[in-house]
Amino acid sequence: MNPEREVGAALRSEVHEFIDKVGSADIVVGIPSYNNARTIGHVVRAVQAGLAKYFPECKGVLVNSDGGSTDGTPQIVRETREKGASRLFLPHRSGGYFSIATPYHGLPGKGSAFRAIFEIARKLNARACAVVDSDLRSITPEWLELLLKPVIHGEADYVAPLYLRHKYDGTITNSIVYPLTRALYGKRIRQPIGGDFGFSGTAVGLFLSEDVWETDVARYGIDIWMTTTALANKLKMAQAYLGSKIHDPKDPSADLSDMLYQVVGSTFSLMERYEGYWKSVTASSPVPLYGFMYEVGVEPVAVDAERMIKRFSDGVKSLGEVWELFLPQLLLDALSRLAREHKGSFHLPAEMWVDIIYYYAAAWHSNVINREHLLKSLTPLYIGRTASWVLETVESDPAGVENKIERLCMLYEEKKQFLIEQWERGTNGSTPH
Amino acid sequence: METLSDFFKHMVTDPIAAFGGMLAAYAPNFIGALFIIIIGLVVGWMTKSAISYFLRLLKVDETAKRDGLAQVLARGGVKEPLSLVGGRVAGYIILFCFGMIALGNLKIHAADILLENFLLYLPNVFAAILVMIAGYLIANFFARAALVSAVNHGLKVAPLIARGVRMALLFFAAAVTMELLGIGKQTVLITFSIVLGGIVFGLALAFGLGGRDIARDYLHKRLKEIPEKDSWEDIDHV
Repeated sequence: MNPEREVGAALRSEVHEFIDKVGSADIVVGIPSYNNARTIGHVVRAVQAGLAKYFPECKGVLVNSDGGSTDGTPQIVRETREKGASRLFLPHRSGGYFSIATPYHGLPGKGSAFRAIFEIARKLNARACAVVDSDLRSITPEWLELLLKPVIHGEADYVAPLYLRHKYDGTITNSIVYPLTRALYGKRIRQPIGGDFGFSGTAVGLFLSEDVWETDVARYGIDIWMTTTALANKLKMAQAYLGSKIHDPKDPSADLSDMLYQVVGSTFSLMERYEGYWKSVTASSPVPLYGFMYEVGVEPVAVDAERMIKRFSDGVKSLGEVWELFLPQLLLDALSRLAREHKGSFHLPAEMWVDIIYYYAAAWHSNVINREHLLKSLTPLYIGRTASWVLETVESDPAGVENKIERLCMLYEEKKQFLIEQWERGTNGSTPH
Repeated sequence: METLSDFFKHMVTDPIAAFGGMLAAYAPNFIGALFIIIIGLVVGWMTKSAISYFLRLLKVDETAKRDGLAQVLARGGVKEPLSLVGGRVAGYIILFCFGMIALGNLKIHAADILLENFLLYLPNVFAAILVMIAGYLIANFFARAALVSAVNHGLKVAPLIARGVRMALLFFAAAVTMELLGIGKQTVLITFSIVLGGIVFGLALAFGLGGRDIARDYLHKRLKEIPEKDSWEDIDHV
C-alpha cells in the first residue's frame, strides 16, 4: 500500500470540512485520548494558554484525536476555554485559534491517533506540530513554548522532552531504551519515549511517508518509532527541559511483561529496519537542550527490593529452559549464582545487564524463539536489574543517579561491536553466542 | 513294472524340470520386482535430496531449533538437521512403497492382500505423523507461553503448570494419533477422559479444600475489583 496515496484515509468527513474552513495553520497541537475526561480539560487549557502566550501571531489549531472514549472526553475538549486571559497575562491573540475533537480511523492505538494529527497538520501546511499526552497533570503553557519554538525558529526538526523524574521511575527508559537508542543512533536523547514531542512540517511529511500505519506502530510504540525515524533520517534533533512529569495514575491492570514486550519489541523492530544505519554509528554526541534547568520535587515511589529479588530468583529457577536457547552457559551460571544472593549482597552488574540486552536483541533478530515469549521472559531479569538499581542508588542524589546512567550508557556504547557480532550470527541463521 | 530310470524321472528329473519351468515362468516377475526395487532406490534417493533441499529452503532447521524439536531429536540421538532427517524419511517411504509394488509384482496372493492393506493404511500413517509433529510443536509453544506467563505472575508452580500443559497436549495428540491408526480406540478415549476428569477433579478438590482461604480472598478481590499490587507497581517503568 502506498502511504502517500492513503493520506487523508484516517480522517472523517467533518475533519475535511474543518480543514477547508481553517485553510492553513502555523501550529498544530495534537492530543491523543481515550477516556481521559479527568485530565484532558487541564491539558487543553494549558495548550490554549501556551499558544496564546507564546505564539499570539501564529494561527494555532488544537486537534483531539480520540479512540472512542465513553466518558465524554471529546465533549470536554469542545467545551473547554481558558478564561483567565488577564490573570495569565496573555497578550491579544491576532493569529487565530481553532480546535477540533474527532475520532480517528484505523487500528485502535496511539499511533493511529497520531496519524490523524499528522494528516491534519500536513493538510493545513503547519510549520510546527506538537503532541502532548492527555493524562498530564503537570503540563504548563511553557511546555508549548519549549517544544515548538526550536522548530518555529528553524533550529530543530524534532524536539524530545526531558523531564526530571524520581530515581526509580522510568526504569525501562533508563536501563534499556535510552542507552540502547544512544548507542545505536549516536544521539543522546534522554527520553526517547517521553510522550510529548515537538516537530517540523518536514518531520510530519517523513512520518506520513512511512508505510507503518497498519502495523504495531499504529497500536503502540509510536513514541520510539518517531524518535528513531527522526534519528535515522538525520533530522535536526533537540531536547526541551519540561520539569517534572506527573500524570494520572496508570491503569492497574497494565502488565509489566506486556509493557516490556511492546517497548523493547518496538525498539528491536526498529533495529532491523535501520540496521544499515546503526551499524555505521561509532560514538554518540549530545543534542541542544532548550529550557531553564531547575530542580523540582518528585512524587515518592515505594519499592520493596527484597520482593523484587525474590521474583528474580524464582524466574531464574524456572526459565532456564527458555534462556538456554539464546543465552550462553556462562551467563546462565552467573544468573544462577546471583539468584542465591540475598538483599545485602545482591548486585546485577551493569556489564551483565548490557550483555543480556544485546543477547536478547540478537535472539529477536534470529527469531530463535517466538518473539513474545522471548521478550516476556526478560521480565524477571528486568526486575532483578531494577532491584539492583534501587539498592545501588539508595543514597544517590539526582546528579549521582545521572552519573550512574551515564556509565551504563558508556558500557552500551563500548560493547556495541559485541552486539554487531551477535546480531550477524543471527543474520546467518546461527543461534547467538 | 516301473524301471529305475522311470522312477528317477518321476521322482527327481520331472519335479526339477517342473520347478525349472516354474522358475522360468516366474523369472520375469522376479526380475521385474528387482528392477522396481532398483528404480525405487533411485527415486528414493532423488526424493531424499529434493525434500531435504526444499525443507532447507523453508528454513525448517531454524524453525526446529526455535521450537525445541531439534533439541528433542538430539536428545533421542538424532544429531542431523531436521531437513536431512525429513528427506531421509521421505526417501525410505518411497523405497518402501516401491518394495511393496515389487512384492505385488511377484503375484503372490498373500503379498497382494498385504499390499492392498498397506495402501489403504498409508494415509492414516501420514496423518498420524503429521498430528504427532503438530501436537509436539503446539504443546511446546503453549507450555512455554504458560511457563513465561506463570513466572511473570509470580506463581511458584510455574514449571509444574508448564509441564501439565505440555503433557495434556501431548497426551491429546497421542490420543488423536492412536485414533487415526485405529489402535485401541475405546481404551485411549476412556483413558483420556479419566485422566482429564481426574486432573480437573483433583485441582478442584485441592483448591476447594487446601486453598479455601486463598479462594475466598481471590474471589473477594475479583468481585470487589481490588487489583493485587506488586512491590514495583509504584514505579512508572516507561
